[in-house]
Amino acid sequence: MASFVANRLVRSVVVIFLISVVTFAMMQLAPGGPFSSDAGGRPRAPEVQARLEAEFGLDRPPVEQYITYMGKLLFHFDFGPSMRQIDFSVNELLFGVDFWSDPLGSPVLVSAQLGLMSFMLAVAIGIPLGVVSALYRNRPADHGAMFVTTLGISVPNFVLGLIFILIFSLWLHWLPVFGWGDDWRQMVMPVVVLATGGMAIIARLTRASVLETLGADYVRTARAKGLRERFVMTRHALPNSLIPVVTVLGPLLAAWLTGTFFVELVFAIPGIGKFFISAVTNRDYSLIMATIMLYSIVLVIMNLIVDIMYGFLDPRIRYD
Amino acid sequence: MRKKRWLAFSMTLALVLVLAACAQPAAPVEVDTSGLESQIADLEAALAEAETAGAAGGEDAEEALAALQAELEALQGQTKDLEQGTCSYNAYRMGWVMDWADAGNIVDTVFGPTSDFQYTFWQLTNPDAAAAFGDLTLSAYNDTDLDNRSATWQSAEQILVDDQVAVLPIYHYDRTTMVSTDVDPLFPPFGAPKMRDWGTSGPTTMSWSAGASVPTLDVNRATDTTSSTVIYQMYDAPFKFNAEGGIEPQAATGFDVSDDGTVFTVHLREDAVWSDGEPVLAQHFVDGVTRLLSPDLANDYAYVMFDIVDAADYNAGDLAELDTIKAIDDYTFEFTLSEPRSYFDSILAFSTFHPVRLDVIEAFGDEWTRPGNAVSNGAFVLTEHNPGDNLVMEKSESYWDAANVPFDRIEVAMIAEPATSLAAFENGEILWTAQGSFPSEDIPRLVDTPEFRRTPRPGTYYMGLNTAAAHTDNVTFRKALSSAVDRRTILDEVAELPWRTEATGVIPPEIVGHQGDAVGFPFDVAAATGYLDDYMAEAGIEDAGDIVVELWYNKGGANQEILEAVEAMWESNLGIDVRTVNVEWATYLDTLEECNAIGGGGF
Repeated sequence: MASFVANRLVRSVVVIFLISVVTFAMMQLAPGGPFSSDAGGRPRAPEVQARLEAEFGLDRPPVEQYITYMGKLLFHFDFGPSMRQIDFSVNELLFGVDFWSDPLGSPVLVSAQLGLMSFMLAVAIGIPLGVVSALYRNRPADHGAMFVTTLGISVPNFVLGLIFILIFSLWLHWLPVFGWGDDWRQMVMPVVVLATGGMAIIARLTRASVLETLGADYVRTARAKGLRERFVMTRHALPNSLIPVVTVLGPLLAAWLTGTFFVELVFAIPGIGKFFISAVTNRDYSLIMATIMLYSIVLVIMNLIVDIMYGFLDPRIRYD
Repeated sequence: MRKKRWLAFSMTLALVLVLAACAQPAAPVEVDTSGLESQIADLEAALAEAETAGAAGGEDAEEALAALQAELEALQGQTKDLEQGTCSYNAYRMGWVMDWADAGNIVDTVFGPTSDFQYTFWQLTNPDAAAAFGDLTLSAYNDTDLDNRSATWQSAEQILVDDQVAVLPIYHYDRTTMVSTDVDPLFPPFGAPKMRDWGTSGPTTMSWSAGASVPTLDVNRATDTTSSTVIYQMYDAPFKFNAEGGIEPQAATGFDVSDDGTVFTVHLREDAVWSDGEPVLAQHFVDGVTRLLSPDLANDYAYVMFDIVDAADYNAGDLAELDTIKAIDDYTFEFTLSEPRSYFDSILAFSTFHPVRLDVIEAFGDEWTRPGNAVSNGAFVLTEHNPGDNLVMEKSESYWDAANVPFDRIEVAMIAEPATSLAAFENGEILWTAQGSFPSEDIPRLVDTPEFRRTPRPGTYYMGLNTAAAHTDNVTFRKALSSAVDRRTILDEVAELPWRTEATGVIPPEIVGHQGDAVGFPFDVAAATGYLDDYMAEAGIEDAGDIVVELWYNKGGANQEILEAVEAMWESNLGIDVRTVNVEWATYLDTLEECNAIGGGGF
């Protein structure tokens, strides 16, 4: 097991390195740069643009820029200055201005909180829903559950978010429209909206997987041996049917932990989700690299955890 | 599915995808001029040799030199033509919001021959007109009589819009926003509003929504509305704009101008104090301007102060010090312009004259704009700033007029999505949707509410016409294009902003010099087809459908609807073939700026 993990970690480092090179190349190749227009979107005089590029080191050859960037990152954990929000460094934008005194206000942790809570809600509802659907296949409960989940996948987060705001803020005045961190009520709508999409996928996948497992030989054997139905389900069928679900859960959690764009946009949540898009639109090179690297690292770690989980779920899988 | 049907289905799908990909407008293509460039390099080397030889040689050497030079110019011309081929747009969309109440701020600053902000090349294709325009500009800047200089700007506008038809204005802007009825706003037509001048019938905390983030709070680097809206609460310039667009004393009590109009002397209040207790001195204003012009910083608004003697040279790094703006005593400063400039009084109310404290900047370095470090000479002090989340300002107790400041606290929430900003406003969580636009679908239901405010904000939404590209290089054709756009329909039905003014000229209605219908080419289909027929006769084109016009714009706002309406109008009224290219903002601007550089630019 230990050698397996070590092997995977080494390969992950290589993957992340390759991702950083490809990202760097692509963003340098894209037309436009961080300074082609001023922050208000107005065109910028070429001399000013040239000076800004020199100030941020963009007039150096790309390879040198890359090496300087990676050097700062690896040795000082410094993602560089933001090229759009020039008063702050990327570290401050991602981790908050005073991380140590107010860690929960840090954008990375805000997104992680939102992602984790939505994940737990989606799993807590999705898996039981899928199991119930499988057990009562083709009965009203199944149809009902699958209808709701299809709705959850089809309706975009953005639309659902705005509808929720309309109903719960503007009509009922139960919940505030935007924000995070001041009031527990701000968390309700974003978490529910984000969870609906994932819940739907998890429920469908669980249902399909449980149906398949219930038809397997070892389940028939267990029943033939006279074991109680509930024991058959929880000890034999369910763990095995979770394997495909866990495969999906890993990347899903990785995606949600690093911030989701639409939910954070609609509810004005100060996480890092918006940076994935705004950094590219603004061509803020240091922020682009930082967000991509962050996402890659989280994704790689989650995939590793998923692979380790297989070992616990399926006794046939061993890593030595 | 049976195998054959499956195969047929997937082939059809592939075909559809390929067709869809082909239907995308092609992005400007990179042209390979390397062959030509190496030839040019060889020629230049030969020329250099010939010149040194020719210094000694006689007539033959001179002839050889002339021949070499001619060849070089021909090759350079070819390269330029090739490269300009990538700048194939016939029309591009742009907008401009004015910074002060002088027509020159749009007529010259945006469209003048030396402007970096226009991509029409009209100064290159019509150098005589550009020279005439330049003369008018100079005489207007030097003229201190408002009516006289407005007449001069009108003549310049006529050259631009009537004679050259380099610009196709569409409509004039105004400011539309939602403000709670519990506060009484004041929106000057230029610059950001100052909360200390607002009224309140209850709330002591003012709140508004900004965009996704505040780009910077450095007074010399900020140019966008979000940053300015915060900065204007923290800092007082010598003067401020009033509701009519004129200036009123703020940090200053008055100013004098010398008889020849070049020396300005500004007198400051003597009771003003920074939020840390230090008195506000004339030196701080001088430092503000000097830092704005610093050659070590890259400040976009430095050009605004280039009328001050030596300012441009200092900014370029050619001068070690700037002494044409200086403090005469603690409460008076003086600066000298190279020539009289009629609009310079407005600049005293502009953000370029915000004071700075060099000691604070030195003490805190890059973090001088953070809460706790930044000091204000204005009504509010920055107390909290969480980037991307929110920003809080509180009333400065040491402000000289603190007794009259209506709000104790200002909360700025960063909300990127207009729908959310509007929902937050309607739920009472914020009092002003400063964030900018709200979804245009909501406008019809909001228009008649008391919270919907419309105030002047002079500016123009327009299309620039490329005077160097095929077809639009002919002025008659440009007149046809301009006469074929029904601006009223665009405002009423397409953009759903029926209260806005159509524009046939570039000077907005609130600015002295506005000419309304007297300039430009209003919508007239008969005139448009007349111009088109004249052009086709001249150019020997028989079918209008053979004329291909490329229209470039950036995605965002209502641009797509408006420009597609223009496309439809041109196609149905003129019968020409219009292709639209839309890209996102950064790419769009970058491509236009590159074209400017290739074409010789405006600078």
